[in-house]
Amino acid sequence: MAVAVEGGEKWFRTCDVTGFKVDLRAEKIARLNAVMAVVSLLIAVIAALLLVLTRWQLFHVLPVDWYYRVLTLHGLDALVFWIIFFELAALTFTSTAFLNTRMSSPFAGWAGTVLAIVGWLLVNYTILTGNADVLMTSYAPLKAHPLFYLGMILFAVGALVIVTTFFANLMIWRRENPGQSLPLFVYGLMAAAIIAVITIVSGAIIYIPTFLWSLGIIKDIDPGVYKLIWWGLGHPSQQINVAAHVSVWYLITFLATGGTSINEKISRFAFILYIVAINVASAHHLLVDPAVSPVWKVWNTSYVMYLAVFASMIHAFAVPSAIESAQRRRGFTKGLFEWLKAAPWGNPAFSGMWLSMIIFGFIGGITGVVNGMEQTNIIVHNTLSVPGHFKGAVVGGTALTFMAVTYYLIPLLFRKKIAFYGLAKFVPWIFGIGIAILAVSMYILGAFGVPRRHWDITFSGGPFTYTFNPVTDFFWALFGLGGILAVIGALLWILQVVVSVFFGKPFNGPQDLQIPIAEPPPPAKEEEDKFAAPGTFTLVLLFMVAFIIFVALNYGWLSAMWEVK
Amino acid sequence: MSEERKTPFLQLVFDDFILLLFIGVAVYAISYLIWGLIELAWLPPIPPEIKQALLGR
Ligand code: HEM
Ligand SMILES: [Cu+2]
Repeated sequence: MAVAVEGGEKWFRTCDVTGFKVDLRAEKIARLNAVMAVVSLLIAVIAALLLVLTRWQLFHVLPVDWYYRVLTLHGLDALVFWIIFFELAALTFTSTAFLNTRMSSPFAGWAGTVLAIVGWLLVNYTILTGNADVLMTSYAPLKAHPLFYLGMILFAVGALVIVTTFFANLMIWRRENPGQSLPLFVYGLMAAAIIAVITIVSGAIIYIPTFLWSLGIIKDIDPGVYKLIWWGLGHPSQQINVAAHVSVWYLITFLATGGTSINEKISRFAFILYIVAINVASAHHLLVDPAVSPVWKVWNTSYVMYLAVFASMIHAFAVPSAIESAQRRRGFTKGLFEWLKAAPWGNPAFSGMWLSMIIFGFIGGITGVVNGMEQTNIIVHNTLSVPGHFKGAVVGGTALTFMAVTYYLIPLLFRKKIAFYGLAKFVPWIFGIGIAILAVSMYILGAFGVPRRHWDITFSGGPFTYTFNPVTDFFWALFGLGGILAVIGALLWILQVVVSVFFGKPFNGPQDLQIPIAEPPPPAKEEEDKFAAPGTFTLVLLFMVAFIIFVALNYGWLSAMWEVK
Repeated sequence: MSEERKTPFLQLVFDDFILLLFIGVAVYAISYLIWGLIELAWLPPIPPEIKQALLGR
């Protein structure tokens, strides 16, 4: 397809694998953002190892001030920088290459990237020099150096500029293709970009006054107001991730199995539910705060938010059923699960995606709904169960998905062959299993009352001491094992990416493709259509049973807390 | 142009990302942010005796 745009063809290359026209100016911006993401992940993973070896009291390597410093570093580099840089790369690349359009404003793209990088430098610098020991949440009245807040603001503004170019790219596309709908994958990223606007604007609303406060220009920051607005940044940023990684699931499903959603309209509707309903769930971070009313809490964390849970259930059905239906059309129809057994397990993007769906659903999702309920929240509040939950959601879900899709990005975005491709088969498993073990053991430790963000749970030298149930020793060992496995997995992945991108062999065309791209499956025969995805249906039932058991257990524990013996 | 009129209404809504952006921002701003801030603003200030006792000065 010839696309008539100003500037002609010199901005473009045609991808010899996908046939997409790739705007080279967008490609460069996307590459730099992706590299920044990987660098941030490397910092976060080194920090993670130190944290694991500190919380596990057997080693307890870091002194107290460095524990909090490294925890701040880990939280921001992992949760904010790695993830958001990756998303900025994805938004830039897909809104041009996937739509065969041009980059609306390369200047804005570069300006945003540079701002974000300067912000990243300031934040990392202030943390490492001991000027920002305030943890990721930086709750006032904890005060960091002004450059820390300035860094956060610059990063947010840079990200907002790039998100704006994303919408401008979509508008160019719409002008060139009137009356068409976005492809589902890009549609999901559009939802992510909308949520990103909400997130970033909240971030600006809170960080600008906090910056002025750190300079002494504003006298006071109300801690309650701070917390309310900060979570308008902290929580929706996770929902950017969910929308983005679900979109990537649809993409990998298509690339690795040729499957497409069996009902695209419903999948789109589910993304709209995210846009509308998922952000108010920020309120679950204030469930034990006395200042806001129960009506506000319950309205925002249940009635509205369950629409978003419903949306996730739709995707949880739509993605596996897309795979199942494609596989069944290829003839893998025996029993409930032949399609799954015959899935392309040797493809690291596929195995990574499947693992991330299981971990996100069964660990991140189930614990999330329980932690987010007013009643059961009280038994996990500020315990290690909370990071246990989001290790399942954002690490097992988002991070693992992004790692998986990178195996496609190395040839298609960076035009390099994947180094040590044989290793790729194992990396998602090492990382995924490590994170699953880590998340579950953190969750259980939390159930025994182990606090999060706590340097020394032996409370040595403290006025009060407490001895945890000795069973926790076992779960600490498990925690260490899972953490170290995950660190190894992440480091292997980083090694592969860095060697491929900076020292790898160039990718010269389809003959160099190591990771397979599936042919579309044959069209469905009439009689097979009667129940397109019985296997997926069974998996969803299994999920529901696990969910009900877990909720029931939690209400049991809740009532046991108040039992008088 | 006659083609555009045939597009179903729901699809027009689904495809209008600027409209969706406004809806998303509005629901969040009203249900979470503004409502929450109003509740915080209505809180009576902490009585000075209690504040002193808590801060120990
Ligand atoms: C490589 C594997 C990883 C390991 C072993 C790991 C381990 C840990 C540990 C031990 C903590 C400290 C909990 C505490 O003391 O309260 C922690 C906190 C945290 N992790 Fe990770 N992590 C990993 C990757 C990630 C990734 C990829 C993300 C984000 C995408 C992430 C996000 C966070 C966040 C947000 C916190 C909470 C920080 C805070 O409480 O301020 N982690 N992690
Ligand atoms: Cu949240």
